[in-house]
Amino acid sequence: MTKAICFKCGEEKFGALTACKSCGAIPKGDQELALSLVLCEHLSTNSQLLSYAHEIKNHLKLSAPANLLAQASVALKDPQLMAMLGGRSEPDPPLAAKPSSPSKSAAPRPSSAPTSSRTPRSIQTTVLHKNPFAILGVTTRDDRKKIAEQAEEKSLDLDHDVCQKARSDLTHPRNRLSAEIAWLPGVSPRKASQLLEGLLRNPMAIREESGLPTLAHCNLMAAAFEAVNANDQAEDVAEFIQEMAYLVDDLDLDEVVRDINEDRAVSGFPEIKDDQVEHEILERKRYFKTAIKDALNRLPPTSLLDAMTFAVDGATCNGEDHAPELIDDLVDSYAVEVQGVLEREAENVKKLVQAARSSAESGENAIKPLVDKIEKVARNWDRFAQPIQLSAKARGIDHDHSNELAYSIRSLAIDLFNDHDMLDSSKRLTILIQELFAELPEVAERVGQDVDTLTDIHSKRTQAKAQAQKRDAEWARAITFNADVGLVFKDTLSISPEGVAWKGNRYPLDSITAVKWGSVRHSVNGVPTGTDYTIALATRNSSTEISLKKESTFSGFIDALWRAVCVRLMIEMSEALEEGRSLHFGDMLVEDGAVTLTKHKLLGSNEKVRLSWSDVQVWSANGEFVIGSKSDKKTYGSTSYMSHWNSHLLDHIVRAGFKKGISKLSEYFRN
Amino acid sequence: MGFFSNLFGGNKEQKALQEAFGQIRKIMEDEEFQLEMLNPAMKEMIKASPAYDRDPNGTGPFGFAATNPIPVNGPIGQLAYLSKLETNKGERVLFHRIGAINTIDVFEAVTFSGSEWFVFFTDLYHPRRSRLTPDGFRFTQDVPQFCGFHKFCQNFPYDFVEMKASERESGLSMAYIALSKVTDQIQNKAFQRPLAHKAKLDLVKIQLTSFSAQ
Repeated sequence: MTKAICFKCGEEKFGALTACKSCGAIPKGDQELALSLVLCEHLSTNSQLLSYAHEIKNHLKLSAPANLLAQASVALKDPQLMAMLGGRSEPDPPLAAKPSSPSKSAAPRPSSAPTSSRTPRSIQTTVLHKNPFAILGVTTRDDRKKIAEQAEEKSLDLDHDVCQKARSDLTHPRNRLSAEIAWLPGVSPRKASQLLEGLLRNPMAIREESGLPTLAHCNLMAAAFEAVNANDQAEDVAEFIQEMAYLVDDLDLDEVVRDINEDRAVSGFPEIKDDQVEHEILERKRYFKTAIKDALNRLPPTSLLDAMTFAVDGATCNGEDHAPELIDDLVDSYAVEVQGVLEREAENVKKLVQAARSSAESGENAIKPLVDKIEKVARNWDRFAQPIQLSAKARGIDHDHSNELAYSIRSLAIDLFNDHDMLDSSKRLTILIQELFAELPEVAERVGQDVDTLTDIHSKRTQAKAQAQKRDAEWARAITFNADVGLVFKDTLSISPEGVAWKGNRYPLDSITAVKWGSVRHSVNGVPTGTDYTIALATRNSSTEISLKKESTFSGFIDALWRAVCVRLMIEMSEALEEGRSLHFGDMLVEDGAVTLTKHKLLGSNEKVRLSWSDVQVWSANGEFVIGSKSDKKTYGSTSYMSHWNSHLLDHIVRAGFKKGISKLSEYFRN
Repeated sequence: MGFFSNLFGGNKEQKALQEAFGQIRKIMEDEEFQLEMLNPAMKEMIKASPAYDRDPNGTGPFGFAATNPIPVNGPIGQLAYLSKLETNKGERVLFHRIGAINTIDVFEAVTFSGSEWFVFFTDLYHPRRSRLTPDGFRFTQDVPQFCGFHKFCQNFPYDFVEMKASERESGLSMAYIALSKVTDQIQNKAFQRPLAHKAKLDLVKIQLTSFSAQ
């Protein structure tokens, strides 16, 4: 298998475009797919892959060559490859086309030409430029005298009060420390000047800077956030936020104290202690969070959501790793701000769930629109909740609101199936929960089991349905027969699931209540001259007789008739006998456990004799079905196959019953 | 062969050759005969399966997705079908089997010139082969001859000569294309897998449930 590096976590994996076993990331969108192709041995050597892995793991800028990325992009246009990747090869996010109804599925880019945050741009000023050091044009090494001189000089050009405040801030011990922390500690005055100038010309270039002291770099990055505007792509902003967060995580108190004290030793200001700095650093971190929040608030609502989601997703590797502290703080802040929206949407879902429950009695079609709405609102809810869910997952805690909503929908799904057998709606809701709440481990596990169960049920039902359809089709095939009857003027005799058709009349199968058939062989002087076949059918209102000459037509039709009608008639006969009714066949009276025959006397009138089935025997003779007493040859009864209705059926039940050794005819079908 | 031998049906060798070619043609074309070559259990299973040109429930591009494989009749039918394919530009393909995703066989294929590479998916549990071709392909009018293998070729397609020779025992080697059709390309190393195809193979290999020996 092809050796590759995960574009997200930098771990080794097999197959460029496959999921990473370490972090679960699957490359989606052209950018990630192209990058993933570059990060594999198809386009890079082993040593290059090692280098890329190091860059990714240490959140350094990736040095993948543009020409290889271009080559990968071209390869991704292969039609079969695109088909294999399915929806993964679509253009990159933003996810929603309409700000009013954001959804998780990919959508076309907004028409207002979004730009990368790395696009060169300039800004007029930043908060750094309002730092007292910047206002007065002094350095961290300048002493009080120099500061005072500068303040006087600057008063000629700038507002006098501003200059005096700046001077006061820089000379007052506590205020000076705030200014120093907010400035560029550890950066030489010349470099500081260059950086400040560069910040105005190209704020985003600060992201590429390396070798700066961490706090200074953080302050510069925070200032650069002021350049983020509504045209920036969510993904870029998310990346920027992650870079900032990792940088802030690297802040080292000792390093800050050392840098400040180094300059204070030159400027003559007293050295500071760790505990003094700690408080200031905390304040600084709050400022960083505010700077990022302000930047996010300048984005359109959709981009804001996306940027937050991407940032948290990236920083936590889809909820698997702890995020930097800044990200957690940001999420907590975000959670407070979207609380109102989440509560409102959760309330809407609750109402819809209730409505669905009330409408369930009316059938699956009635609740479908409600399920559609539940899905829409739940997806909207999840768009807002997603960063919070990811953060909670990474922190190993539950997001209670998400749990509540997930279980509420799950409860509806379960009830729809258990109480109303609405498998499709239930499955749909279950899959929806599985998708939207994948970040909640407990919910994911339970719902995963639900999906398996429903899938299993659905599969079994589908199989059963298919088998039933197959059986129906086979039955239909078995009872379908048609033939033309007659030499000159032909009539069509047919039987099918629609019924028996003969001479323009159609007899539905269920309407046939009795059948009889038989044949008569003719001969002259012992020479056979032909056979006449007769079939008769009766309904409640009428009967019809069919005369045939061809044996094949006769037997083909009888075969089909047997399956289509006779089996049902025999079952009905059996049920009637079981209920205690008695049925006449020829000169016999048949009951469930007995049969009444005629004792034939030479002298005197015949008498009726009732015998149980164990006392009789059966045979066929002269076109009749005969039942006779085992002990008295004169006691017998018969019914003609051709003249008496349903004689063939009685024949079948009695003979088959004798073979089974039953004492009552109704037991034949029960067994 | 003289006038009289023509009159009286030709000499024995000629007859044997004709019979051999007739047999080859039968192997290539006769679907029933292709099934007869299977073991009875598999044959029964295949005969009991539906015959259609494409799975009515298939999704994705026909022949290029595991969810819409080409229905064929057993292993020989598989070879026969793929050997009859040619691109719309008139190029046939060399192929070999790289494995299976459940019951769906996966083949890697390349045009004789090496210009295009493909991954095909076939389902050999059907009583006849499909009459349809994947998008961009048609059936060749050339003399039907095998141009691929139902097993994995370690050095595909550069080991075509060796692989063809290995079919001598089965008797199928005579059914294969002449080596002259591919020797130039083999010598000039014309068969280089493009990046897109390598990516496809990666995606397919991760799904394989059984592999031909690799």
